[in-house]
Formats: sequence, structure tokens, C-alpha cells
Amino acid sequence: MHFVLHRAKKKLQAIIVKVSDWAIFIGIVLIGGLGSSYYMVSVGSALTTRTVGPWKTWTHAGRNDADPYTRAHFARAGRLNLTTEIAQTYLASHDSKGRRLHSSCVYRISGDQLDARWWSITALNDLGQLIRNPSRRYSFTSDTIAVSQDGTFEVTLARDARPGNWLPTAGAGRLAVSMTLLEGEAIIAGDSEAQAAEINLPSIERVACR
Amino acid sequence: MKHPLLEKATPILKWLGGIRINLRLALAAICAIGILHICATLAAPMLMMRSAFDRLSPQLPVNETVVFPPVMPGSQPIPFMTPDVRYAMCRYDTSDAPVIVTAELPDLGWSLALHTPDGDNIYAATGVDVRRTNLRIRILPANERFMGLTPEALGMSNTSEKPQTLRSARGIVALRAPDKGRAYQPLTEAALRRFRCSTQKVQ
Repeated sequence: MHFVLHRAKKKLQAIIVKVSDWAIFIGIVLIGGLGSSYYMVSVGSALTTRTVGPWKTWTHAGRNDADPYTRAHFARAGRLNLTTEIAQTYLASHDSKGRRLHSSCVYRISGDQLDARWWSITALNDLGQLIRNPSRRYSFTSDTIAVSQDGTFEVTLARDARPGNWLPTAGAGRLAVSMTLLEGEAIIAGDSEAQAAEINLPSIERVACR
Repeated sequence: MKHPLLEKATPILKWLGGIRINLRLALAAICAIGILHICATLAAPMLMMRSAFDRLSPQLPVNETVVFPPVMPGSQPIPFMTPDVRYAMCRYDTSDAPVIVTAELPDLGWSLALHTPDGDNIYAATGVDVRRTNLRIRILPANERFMGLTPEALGMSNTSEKPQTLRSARGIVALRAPDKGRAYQPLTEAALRRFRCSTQKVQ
């Protein structure tokens, strides 16, 4: 009787080891396969995105020859982008030192003349929604921004009113800044690689935090 | 003296050292991860029910233009749709007849783009400085279906400017107008309202 029980116990142990091996195998495959796909689709990699300072763009957004990661990213985000052959949309969710943008801080976005026929800059929350504010200021474009005599510009992201180009951030929490460049000179020349090396985008500096 | 972190890590490292890796299983896991990664990535656009086309479709009657009001908080039809641009859109469907799109791009910053339901741009044009750009596009179904005879084939002279022809079953045509400030709003609105999108009558 004792021998039979011992054998049954051994058999059960073997089954448990096998089942747990398979469970670990399936777990690793699911986490590895789905996790890596999720990461590549939501965050991107050097193959699919271009990073310039705090700004990031998907290099093949809206294009016919877009890679599967870019297609999945924009299908998931629900965005309707112009092809990158015409316009580049850069998104920043961190400042130039890599700290998360947050409405409790004041930021200075300063840049030189941008290499584009038309451009815009918009403050959003991290879900891509506009930030409600009484002054109804949401974005500046190359037509509406106040530029200094030497061609440079400064935009201040702050909760309270600031002189100059002020974009209110109210109590939005985590922020994202979107920048669209329409027909950069390198795009017109058909050399997007050169643009990647030479593009000059504004810096985002944290001025103060509450 | 050992570093406290190393002291804590030693039993874990010993345990890991005791694990016998089944090479065949490890290789199978790597292959399975790769297959799942590819399948999940390729299937993602089909599984997303909230693409830009799906979100905009309820607001866009088929083959009719809609001029969107300025984008405001709480009224963004799609995420990251920003108020730096005014939009006029048309959801086209060429299953019954070809669709004719006419638009003008009066200035720099204006653009017209045809987006497929997957979000690809199959056509895009931008305005240039000072000069007005008039566009006339005929969208035909993607397959080689007979859609009627052209005026020329019927022996009539066609005096209208020949449109550019594209092939696409359905999608969205978006006319984007840059925000140039309040003073320009009436002009922008008027130009957006001249945007036309309708089915072409064929015989």
C-alpha cells in the first residue's frame, strides 16, 4: 500500500513539473511576444522613429510604404497624419533633460528659425487632448507666434499668464507638446536623411516647479 | 566584506545556476516569441476598432463635405487633432460611382490629402506662396470595374479641365487650412466651404 502511494506521489510530482514547465514556457512566450510587440508599437525603435532632443517622430507615418509597427501605432492612436513626405509631426513628453513634462512646472520652449514653410506648436495633455483654459490659447503657428528681431522665438508653458507667447497648461497633469513642420527644405529636396542629421528643433527647458 | 546587494543576490544567483536550461525548449520559446510578435503586430491594425477612420465616419456622410468647426477642448473628433489647423473632410466611397473632388489651396500651409481607412496617404498636395492652387481629382474604385462612358466616348466634347485620377475604394479626403489668426478666419472659412466632393454622374 505504502509503495503504491509512493509511486502515485512520484507520478503526480512528474506531472506537476511538466505542467509547470509548459506554463512557464507559455508565459514566457506570451509576455515576450505580446510585450515586445506592444513596446515596438507604442514606443517605437530607432528603425521606426527619429529623436531630435526631446522631440520624437515616426519616420514613415501616413506613408504607403509604412512598416507594420508604424501602421499599428497610428491605428491604435487613432490619428490622421499627413504623410511624412510632406509634413513631420514631432511629439515631446519630456524636457531637454529627459524629465517628464508636467503642468505643475513652467517650461520655456526656445528655438531659432525653423526649417519649414509653415509650422505649429500645440500644448496637449498626455492623451492628446487640448487643455481647457479661459483664454482659449491652445497653439501657435508660424503665422501667429511673436518672433524676436533676430528670428528666434520663445513659448512659455505655464499655469498662470505670462508675457509673450504663453500656452496655458492649467491642471492638465502630464503634458505633451506637438510640433508640426510642413515642407521642410530637406523634404522639398527629397533628402529626409540629411534632415535627420541637420534638423534644428526648439529646446524645452524647465524654468521652475511648484 | 561583501557588498549588501551582492549578499542578497548570492542565493538568487545560486538558484539560477541550478536551473538546467533545456536548449530545445529555449529555442522553441524564441521561435514562438518571434511568431507571436509578428502575428500580434500585423493583426493590431485590424483589431483596433477605433482608428481615425472609424472615429470620424459617424460625423461624415458618404460623398459629402463637412467643414469642421475650430477644434476646441472636448470636441476633438480624434486625439492630437489640433486647433492650429481648420479641417474640411469628405468620406468617399466609390462603390456606386466615381467621386470627384475639387478644392483650392489658396496659400502656404494649406494641404489636401486622401487617407485610406488604414491611414495611408494615397495622395497629398500642398499650397504654395502667393499663387492659388486649384485641384480636381477623380477617385475611381480600386478594381477595374466598368463605371460608365466618359463624355468623349459618348461623342460629346469635354470642356472641363481634365482631373487627376486615383484608384481607391473608400477613405477620407481632408482639406487642412492653417490658422493665420482671427483676421483671416472668414477667408479661411469661405475657402473651406468651396471644397466639393460628390459622385460623378455616368451614362
